[in-house]
Order: sequence, then C-alpha cells, then structure tokens
Amino acid sequence: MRQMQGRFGYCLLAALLATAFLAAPAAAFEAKLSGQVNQMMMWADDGNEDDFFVADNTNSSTRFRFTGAQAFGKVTAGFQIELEAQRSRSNELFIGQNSDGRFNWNDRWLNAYFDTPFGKFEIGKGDGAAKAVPEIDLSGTAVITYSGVTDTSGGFMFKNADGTDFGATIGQTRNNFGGLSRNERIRYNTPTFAGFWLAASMTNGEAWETSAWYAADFGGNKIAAAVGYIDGRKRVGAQYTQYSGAISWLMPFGLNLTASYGQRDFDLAGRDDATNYYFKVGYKWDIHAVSAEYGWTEDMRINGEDSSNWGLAYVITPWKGVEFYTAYRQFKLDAVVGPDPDDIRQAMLGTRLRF
Amino acid sequence: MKTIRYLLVSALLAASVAVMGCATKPKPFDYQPVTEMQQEPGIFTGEKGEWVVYSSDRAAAGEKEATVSEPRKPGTELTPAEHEEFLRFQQWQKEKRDFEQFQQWKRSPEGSKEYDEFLEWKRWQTFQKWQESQTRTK
Repeated sequence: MRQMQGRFGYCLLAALLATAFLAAPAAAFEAKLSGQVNQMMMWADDGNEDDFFVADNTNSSTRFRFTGAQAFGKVTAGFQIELEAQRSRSNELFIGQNSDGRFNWNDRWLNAYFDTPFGKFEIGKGDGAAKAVPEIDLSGTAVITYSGVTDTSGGFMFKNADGTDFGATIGQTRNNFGGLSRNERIRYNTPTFAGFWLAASMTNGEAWETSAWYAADFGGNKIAAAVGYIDGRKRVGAQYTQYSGAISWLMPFGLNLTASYGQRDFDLAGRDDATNYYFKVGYKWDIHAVSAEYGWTEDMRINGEDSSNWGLAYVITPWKGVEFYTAYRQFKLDAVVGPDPDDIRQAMLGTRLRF
Repeated sequence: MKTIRYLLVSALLAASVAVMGCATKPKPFDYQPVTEMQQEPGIFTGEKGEWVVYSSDRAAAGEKEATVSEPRKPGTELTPAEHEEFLRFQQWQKEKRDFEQFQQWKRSPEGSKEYDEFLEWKRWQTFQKWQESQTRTK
C-alpha cells in the first residue's frame, strides 16, 4: 500500500513537472464571486411529538465561493475557495429544539488546481474522488430530496410507542456510502474520453479513493453514471472500505430514473456489510420537477437493522436563480429485537436563491 | 424482497444500455454534483451566475480606453491658452472633415454633375453682375 502511495506521489510530481514544459506566457486572468442562500421551514413528527423548524438546508447549504483561473498556454492554474455559513442546520434538528441552533462557519473548498492536457491535478481541501458517486441525480429535485436522506433528517430520534427514545437517530441508521467529503487531499482527474473519465485521490490517514464516471447525451437522453471505491481503514472516522455506484437517466420528454447503491465493509469481525439502495422516479417539464423516492439501508448501526423511507418532492424555478421546493418524507425502522419504533414524518417548504 | 431489488436495478441498467446502444453519437456533458453549486444563473450575477470581480482583459481594455479618451477631455490639466488652441484644432479638424467630404462628393458621378451645374450657376451670376454694371454705366 505504502509503495502504491509512493508511486502515486511520484506520478503526480512527474506530471506537474511535465506541465512546466507546456508553460507559455499568461493569458486572461479572471476572479469570480458567487453564492447561494438555501433556507426552509420544516414540520416533523416522531409519533410522540411534533415540532416546527426554520433551518438551513444541508442538501445544498448557504455558502459563497470565490474562484480564479489563469491560462498559461495549455495549462490553466486556478483556485476555488468556498465557505459555508449555516445556522440551524437541517441535518442536526431534533424534536424539542427550542433555539436557532449553532452558527457554523465551514471551509468547504480551499483548492488549487492545474488543468492540463494530461488531466486535472488538485491539491487542498475538497471532495475525494468517490464522494459524489452515489449522489448522481438528474431529476431536478435534488435540492430537497436525493440519496443523502440524512441531510434533512439526520438528527431525528426514533421513539418507542410509549414515547421513550428508541436509541437510534435517522442519521445513525441511514447512509448513502459516498466517499470522503471535503478533506485535505491530492486528486487527479483524467481528461474526458467520449464522456468517460477517471479520478483518484489520497488524503491524510492514507485514505484512498478512486472512481470512474460517465456523462453523455444520446439524442436528448441524458445519462450520468459512476462507480467508486474507498479504502479509509487507517483514517480516523473512516475505518472501512466502501463501494458505491449510481446511475441517473433523464429522457427527452422529462421522465427520469435514478438508482444508487452503496456497500460498506466495516473491517470488524462479526460485523455484516452495510448496504444502501435508493431509487427515484421523476418528471421534469418547463419550470417544474416532481419526483418520488424510496430507499433503505441495511445493517448500518447494528447487524439486521433495516431503515427505510419514501418521499415525494416538487421543485419550481419561476425566475432565474430562484427555486421554491416542497417535500414530504416518511421514515421507518425495522428493529432487530422487540417492537419497531414509530415512523418519523416530515414536511418541508423552502427556497434556494443563487446570487 | 432481494429478488425485486435486483430486478429493479437490472431493468434500469438494461434500459440504459438499450438507449446507449440505439442512439447515435453520444455528446459528453459536464455533470455537476447535486450538492455543489451549479453553473446556473444568479439573481444579481445574471446568466453566468458569477460576478467577475477582476478580469485582466477588462482591465487592459479599461487602460486602453483611458489612453484614447485622454485628449477628448482637455481643460483640467491645460492652460486657458492651450485649451483655446485645442478648441481651434478641433474646429479645424471638423472643417477639414467637411472639406474632405465635399471633395469626395465632388469626385462622385452625381457630385461632379451637380458641381458643374453649381459652377455654371456661379458663372451665370458673375455674368448677371457684369450686365447690371454695364446698364448702370450707360
């Protein structure tokens, strides 16, 4: 493994040096600023109590981004600095919350890159190569529902029929098994060949990610697909290996289908592999998008436990840069022993403004 | 249950492969992860969705424009005499432009015909004046 990492490092260095030979006088330099605000109202009911919240939608949080790039002949050097500013994060809400929650500054991207004819080389904080694999979604409703169901519900605790805590939150029982999200890493992306490209990244704790991607339009049929692999056994908080894959198909008349699969091997004796399945069918027309989803995760918290949900979503984009969305979701947990806890239901209504 | 899951996945994959197989020439597109900021229009930033804080092209164009426009705004750094001279220079340039336009018109087929007529008229006026002077003498 160490030998492989050494080789990867040498290859990266060699490629960066090779780019120096392509260097040419500087062309245009541009620095750009962009951002978005994504806020929503939510009602949630755990079967025992219900509550109302105003929150920042973690599916695609409030943030701003500063980017810059300059072409030097065939090499483009650039950077991306992206900061997230969230209060009352939707993934941390819990029934009984009586405050606005914490304010969080989060450095999402601190990334420098060199885009060359041999591929794109990145260094700094950003997504690992397999992070976005199971999130692939062309439905147009991902702002409120996608395979990462815990982003809007992770903090809600399942309750027993008598109102006592079951002992597990949605966040502990569900996962789409994406890659390592935004970490200090080096990353390499190959150039695109007929819609295909590969990516690899390495982060602290000798955690590796690789992925293969495909995105192409067949006479109006848009297809995006990817598969990824992660080995994070030596990294704190990621002691596992993981596979994931997803495909999304948007047809010319607006019907779209999405499927996502993920599997985690905990590398622990007696522990079953956890798996996740997610399906979505949607329809897009004009400024509207609707979808229905169903997904479940098996063996995430403990062997034999099955956590699932279904949901409906609607998104409208009445003006450029302005989206309104609404969704309903219902979560269910099949307990290994004893009676199942009550279902958790949630309804959401919000807006994302890009500026 | 598992059989249904596998059937669903297989059906989706088979349908995708069928579409890929039937269609001609796939066009690659840039897939953007759904949780990241999309390259879409913004309220203030318009179609591009990004506000250009600095552009070396724009800066260079600005410098060029400033250089060209300098002589057009005299006054503040010029003495009154220089300013007056500059105004005379502008007037001369305008007249020169008018004169050149007149010369061009004169050389044109239409212009030369009209100009000949104009010259004839001038000669006729001179002849008239001469006749008047002769009458007064008598």
